[in-house]
Amino acid sequence: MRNIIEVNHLTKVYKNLRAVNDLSFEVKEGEILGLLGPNGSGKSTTINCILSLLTFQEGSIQVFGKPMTPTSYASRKKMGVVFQDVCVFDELTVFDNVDYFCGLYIQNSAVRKEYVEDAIALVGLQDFKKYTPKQLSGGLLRRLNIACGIAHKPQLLFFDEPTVAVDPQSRNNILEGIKILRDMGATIVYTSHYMEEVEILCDRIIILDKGKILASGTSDELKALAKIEEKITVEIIDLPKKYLDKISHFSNVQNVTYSNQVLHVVYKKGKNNLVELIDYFKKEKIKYNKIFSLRPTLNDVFLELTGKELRDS
Amino acid sequence: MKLFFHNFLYSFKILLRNKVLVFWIMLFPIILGTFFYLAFSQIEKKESFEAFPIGVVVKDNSIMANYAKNVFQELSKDGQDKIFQMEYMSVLKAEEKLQKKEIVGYVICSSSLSFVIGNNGIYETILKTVVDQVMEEFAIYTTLLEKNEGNKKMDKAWIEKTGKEINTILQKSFVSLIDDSPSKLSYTMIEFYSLIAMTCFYGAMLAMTSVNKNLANMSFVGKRVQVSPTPKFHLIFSSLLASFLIQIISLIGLFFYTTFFLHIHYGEHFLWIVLLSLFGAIAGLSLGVFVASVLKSNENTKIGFLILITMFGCFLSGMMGITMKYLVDKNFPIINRLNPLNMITDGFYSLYYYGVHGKFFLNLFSLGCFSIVLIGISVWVLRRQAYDSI
Repeated sequence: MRNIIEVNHLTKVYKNLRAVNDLSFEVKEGEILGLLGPNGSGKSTTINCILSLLTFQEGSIQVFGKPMTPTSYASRKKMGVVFQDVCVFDELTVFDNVDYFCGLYIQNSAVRKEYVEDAIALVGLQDFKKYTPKQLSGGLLRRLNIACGIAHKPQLLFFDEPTVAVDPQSRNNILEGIKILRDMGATIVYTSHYMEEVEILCDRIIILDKGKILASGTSDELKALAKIEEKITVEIIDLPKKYLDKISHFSNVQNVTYSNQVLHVVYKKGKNNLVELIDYFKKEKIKYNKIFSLRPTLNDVFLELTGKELRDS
Repeated sequence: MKLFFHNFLYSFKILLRNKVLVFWIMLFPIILGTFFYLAFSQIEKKESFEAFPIGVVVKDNSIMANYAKNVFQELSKDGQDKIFQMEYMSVLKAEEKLQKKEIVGYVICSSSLSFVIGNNGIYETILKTVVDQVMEEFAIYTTLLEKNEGNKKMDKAWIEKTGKEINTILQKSFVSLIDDSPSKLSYTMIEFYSLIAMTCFYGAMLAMTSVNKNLANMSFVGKRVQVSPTPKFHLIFSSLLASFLIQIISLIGLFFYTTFFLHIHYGEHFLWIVLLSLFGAIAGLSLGVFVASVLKSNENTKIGFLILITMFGCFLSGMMGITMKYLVDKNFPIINRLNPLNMITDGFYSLYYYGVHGKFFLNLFSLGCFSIVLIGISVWVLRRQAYDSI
């Protein structure tokens, strides 16, 4: 598969802040690349540099095999962007907004009308075509924002945190829509600080912090970096310290904590950890309510790499 | 071309549906015009001069008495110069009429001139001024005659001839003190000229909004527009054309409303007024483009700035009183030469007073230069395609 985007040693400095620091990566045709990182990690700046909205000090960017410049109109024709901010006109209806932005790419009015209808259907705004943005809820507004960015059926799509401040129903709708676009063959760059979304959607993930790449790879490859295999959480009303000490000496256990009547046991590796723990509770006649096992998350990876939680950053 | 029309059409729609802009561009001038009409037409009605009644008592047939009689007769004839409704009467009759307030005062014409008034007021002041002036002029007249008494060539015919000439000159100079302008520009017209200038420059808000919507560093939609495969200047130009069209519509609306509802008569050179308004509208657009591209602040601040500039320009060019324009022209002429709103109102004044004349074209030329300079700077700033920060 050919590279649709190639970013080499990109560096962007705002006065005293190095927002992007020697960033290099590529996006392959048909894949969804996730840029994951906390606020201020350089995700949006990277996208704005790729789009030639921002100047940068060092590095090079190629899109569709050609250097990307502000006048790369041929490349821009095949690109679509869904910005973090809602970029629509309050004075236009839903239909007119999508039609206006689509019209900047598609000049044949019959084809455009069809594309606009498709985009509105994809984001589920068929019943709101004559509404103005001010009449829409936050979630519906986000969907309109997406429809405006994808209506011209671009080959390369950028989604810059499209689900910020969106209700769960709209979020699911948005994520489903993105999956459909991927199935239709679009190459997608998706930025978010919601690790669950990135995990669900993306074929490959780049974790950013302070403008630098901390790690990249598939979800499984990244989780391997967390150096943990499993996290078991148990609700126990009372757990004397002697039991806690005993559990911490189980094989493969990396860390044990007990607070607010919840026991967390983190395992480095191994199988049947859950069975072993349940057997121990039975043997010691320790009563518990709920018990569940989790695989490591991208947050654990982030924690492992930076020493801080992704959510707290 | 299709893309140009697409952007033009939607820009037109967006601007027309912007309630704040529509208020400032279309409604505010009409509201202000109505206010001006109500306020100033009443003032003019109150201030319009009506000839007032006086009595003239002729006591003898002296030169002074005849001279004064002639002057008061002249000033009581129907026409533009009529000041008095004069009636000859006896002193008794005059006293009686004065008591009944049927006359403002009366003049006693004999070898000396005196007058009696009932109250102190504007009419009484005018009567006093006229009497003083007559006496002053008569003094000049007699002095000249006395000077020529030693001239051996002076005979009766010469005295009569010279006397008539002096009298004519004096009378003419007297009349010219009252009215020295060939045509009078009313307060209302001055206000309406400023109003048209203001409307032209409120178009700056349209231009600013149009430009902002195409710039990634000025608005969210600008980001989306700028990542499209359409050249920025292409979009800005079609958006500005839509702004210009709305500006023209608002000017047509203003002319229509003021002409047909407020009965304002703009004079004989209407087509030239339209031309000047179009130049003014372009100058307004240029200011909007300039502020949008050069000033780095949010849209509301820019709108406030444009309103401030426009109103201050109107103030200096006489919207809140023609005295201000006079003072600025006299003391700081450079300010009004650089003030584009003054260029518009000055163009209207010169059309009114002198017709299609060099001064009018100088104002057109100045507005053209103003627009070219601002657009030039704006293009230079806007040529940047990517930004350091957005």
